[in-house]
Amino acid sequence: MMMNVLAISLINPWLAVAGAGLMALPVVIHWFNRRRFTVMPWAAMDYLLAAMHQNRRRLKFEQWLLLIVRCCVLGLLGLALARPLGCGGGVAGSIGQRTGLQVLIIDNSYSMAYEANRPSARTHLDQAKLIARRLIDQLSGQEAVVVITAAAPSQAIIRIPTYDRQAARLAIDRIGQSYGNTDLAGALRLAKTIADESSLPRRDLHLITDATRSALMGRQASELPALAQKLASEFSLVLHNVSVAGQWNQAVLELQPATNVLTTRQECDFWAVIKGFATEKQASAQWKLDGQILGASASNGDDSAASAQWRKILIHEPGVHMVEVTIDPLDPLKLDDTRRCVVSVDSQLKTLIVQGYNQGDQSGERLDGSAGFLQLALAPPAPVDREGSRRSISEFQTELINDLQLGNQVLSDYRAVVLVNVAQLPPTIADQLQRYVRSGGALMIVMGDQVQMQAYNQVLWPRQLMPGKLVQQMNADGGRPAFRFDFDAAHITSHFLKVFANQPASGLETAQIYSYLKLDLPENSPVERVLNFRAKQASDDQMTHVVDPAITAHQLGQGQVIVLATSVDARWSTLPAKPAYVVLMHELLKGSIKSEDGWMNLEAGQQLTVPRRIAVTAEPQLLDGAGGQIALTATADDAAIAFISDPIRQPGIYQLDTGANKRAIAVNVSPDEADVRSLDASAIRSALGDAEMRILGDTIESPLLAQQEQRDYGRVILVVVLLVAGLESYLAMRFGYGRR
Amino acid sequence: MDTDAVDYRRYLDPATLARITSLDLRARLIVEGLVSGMHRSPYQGISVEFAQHRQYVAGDDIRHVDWKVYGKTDKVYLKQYLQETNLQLICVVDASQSMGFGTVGRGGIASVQETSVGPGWSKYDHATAVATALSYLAISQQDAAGVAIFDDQLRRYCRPGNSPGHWKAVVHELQMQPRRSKTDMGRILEQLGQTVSHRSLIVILSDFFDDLTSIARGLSFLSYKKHEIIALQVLDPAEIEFPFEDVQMFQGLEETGELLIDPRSVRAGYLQELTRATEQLKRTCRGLGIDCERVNTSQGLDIPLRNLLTRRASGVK
Repeated sequence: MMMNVLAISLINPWLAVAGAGLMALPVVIHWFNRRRFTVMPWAAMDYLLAAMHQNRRRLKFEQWLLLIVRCCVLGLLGLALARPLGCGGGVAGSIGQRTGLQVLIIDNSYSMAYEANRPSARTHLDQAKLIARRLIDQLSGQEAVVVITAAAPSQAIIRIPTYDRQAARLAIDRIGQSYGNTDLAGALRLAKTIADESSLPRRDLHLITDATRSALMGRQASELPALAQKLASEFSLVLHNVSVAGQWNQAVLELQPATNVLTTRQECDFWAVIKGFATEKQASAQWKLDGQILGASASNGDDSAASAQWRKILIHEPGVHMVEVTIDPLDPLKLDDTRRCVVSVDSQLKTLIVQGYNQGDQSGERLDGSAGFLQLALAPPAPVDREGSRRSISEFQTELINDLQLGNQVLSDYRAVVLVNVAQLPPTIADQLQRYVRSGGALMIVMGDQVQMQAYNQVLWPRQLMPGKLVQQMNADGGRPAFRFDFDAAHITSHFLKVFANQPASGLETAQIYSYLKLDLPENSPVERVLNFRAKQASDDQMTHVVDPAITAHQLGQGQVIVLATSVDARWSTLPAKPAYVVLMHELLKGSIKSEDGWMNLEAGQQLTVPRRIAVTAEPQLLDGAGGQIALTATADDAAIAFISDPIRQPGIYQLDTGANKRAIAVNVSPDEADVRSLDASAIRSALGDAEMRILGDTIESPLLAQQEQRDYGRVILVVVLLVAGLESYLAMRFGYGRR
Repeated sequence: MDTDAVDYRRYLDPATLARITSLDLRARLIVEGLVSGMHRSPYQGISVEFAQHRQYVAGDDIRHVDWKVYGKTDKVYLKQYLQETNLQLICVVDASQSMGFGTVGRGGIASVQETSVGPGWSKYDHATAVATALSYLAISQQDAAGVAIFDDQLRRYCRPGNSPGHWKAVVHELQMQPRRSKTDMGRILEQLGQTVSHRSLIVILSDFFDDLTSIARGLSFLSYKKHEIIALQVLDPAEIEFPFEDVQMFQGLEETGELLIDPRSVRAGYLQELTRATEQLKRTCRGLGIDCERVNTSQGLDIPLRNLLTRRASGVK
């Protein structure tokens, strides 16, 4: 962009060339005017000639002088606009002004809330602002400033380089503490974009950060080296490390239930991850349920490994509850010492079991067989308690119907639907089921002797309710050994089978399957094979794997579909007689039911998305802890989301009032920012691709003026242009050319 | 001032007169406008003999009040004079090429024409308009009026006469257009002095762009011949103000060459030269007892005529 002309750099050299070209303009105008004169017949010619002869020399002098002055005005104007630059020394340096582009990237991510308690700055962010203001104070009027914040998402709060230092100071003052991650890569990309758009010659980039591991070695670690190297070629990089020696922190990194769905019938497992960074202090974790203290447990809190804590909590009342874990290390980073989790707890999981209509049963009321086995497994009869009443201990509340009745059911009332030995389904019902699964429902399809493979292939497979086509029925009759599951208790891969880990006597391994319907899965299908069938060759005792899937799971929209290729009664297998049967059915169903709590647990900076399934009887309101309202916007086009909020920047407990009820929304800080251990200079350089840069410590003494300066003489020359233009006007008036 | 008066005075504007091609019609309109502009005080011409008294009415010139009558009767009467019949008026009009210059009534200085043909108003147009008006006024009061037109020589000479038909002859002579020739005013005036035998009132209408020594010689000769002389220097406003801005090629109208210049650069010098020449002319005239007045062709014709008549009237009294 710059061009050196006789050791002078020009910011806009083409303007200097244009100015030089324009110097000919007065001559051209003069020549042009003399060519396009008008002829004036004149009577008093003698007087004119006399006047001309008397003033000939003076007139020539005046005209030449004016011509030279006008040429100079244009030439100097071009030079001024070309912004000539020179070094800062000497007499010339004293009249020029320092120029350049100063890009200030201020890290305001959550780790910058670290309280170092300096005399003039409580947090790292306060100190960063002080440094930034100090830098701005040292700028000359010719130096432009850009200010970028590095908390995700990074943004330029001064996007267009400004020469208004007061505006830059105010922008710095307005930078707020973010509770999100560091988006250093995004900030550097922004700086690169702005630099590409700027024509200013000298460019300094000041990165004011705490240089933590999370910022430089976190998710963006792979992007940073290349970015930093690119910027180093365009900027003079300066990193201001505002971290202090011995920074430490303890934080609750995670808190969540162990299962997708929670019920009041069983204790719920919660687990929390507590970790210390650069400290070995013991942390005491306090558990709370809806604000009630449940108890405390100790954590070693050292930085060698995260400490995972499990806790079983029995929640008696269905509804939305909040579980909270707080540690009390009194560390300098407070907000990550508490983590909250909002869970919705059901009384029971309503499950619709649909049995295929039995043609032989003319009454149509016999609902036993496969469906009966399954219903018994999912919801066994409740035992009589001491008071003589029956209270089911099952997590499932089942309802058994036949397939003819399926069209009359409101599927959204159920958390799961199970099709057992249903011969076929009309397309309208299949469409209903597809919508149900797409919106988050769980569907389990169990095969049986009534299943018509062609009907399934024509109706369910195109709607993605089946993982593949049914190709044939496999039987173990005629002296062939029965099929088995390829279950290996020592190598569990599917999360549906976690409970069977190291449980070789569960019966899964020994269950005999006499018949199943073969599923032909497409190549590279994303369908999960929970279990496969294996068959014993007649000539060999060894069981060889059969590629046919026995139990599959696949996603469809928000929901999940489980398919069992064999029956769940005793006609096709001995599985119902095995101990694993009940547990397996529970795990398959519970594992396929989607948790509906995710939208209520956010990280700072995320938006709340209210699903359409949430009953809204009034205009919903989202309130923060102080009663302040956060805007919610209705979405017209989204099939799953009814309302969406602005980004919620402050961690804490929020309340969503939907008219029908009020529920808590938990907003936690990002766990990525918990690692406040600062990197040393060599590690910083390495993380930034060994790009050329200066790394400064936690000081507000800015190095700005120490750099090699270039001074802009554009403004000085512009003043000269104005003076010469004034002289031209005066001379023109004086010489009688100003009457126009 | 009534509406009719306004309408008549409109014809004193050169821009309006420029659109009237008939010279006699111009003269009538000028005189009508002039008389109308004098309100209800009809001027009694340039005669000197007393005729009668008339009662004073508002607007009359109080210089003609007969104070003796007022002292005796306590009533205000004006003296009116008999028309003089032996006055001889000769209008000498310069018809050299320089008199064809004019910028009035042609949309500005850029559309100068050398002759009075067309809608423009040249110095010659102005001079002939004044001459015909004066002649008309004189003849209508039984005075004798004649005209002499010259450029480099005396082109036309119409002896003074006082018949209505003579005025037609005067107008006919004045319809001559300026020629492309230089003037030699001194020689012409001497020639005229020898031609005119009776003592006359000679009104010279010219721009006097000639050698001032020669002009002075001619004027001296006429003055020596006991003629009463009035010199009217007819100039175009462009010549007086020199308002040009852009580069112009000035072409001399009387074989004085051409000059390509930026007018703004020489304006001051030109005006200085013009002023010097005008002052010198006035000094010469003053020395000979000649009235000399500058006539701007952009101004109404009533101004020089009124000044002339007023001066004549005051001179007689």
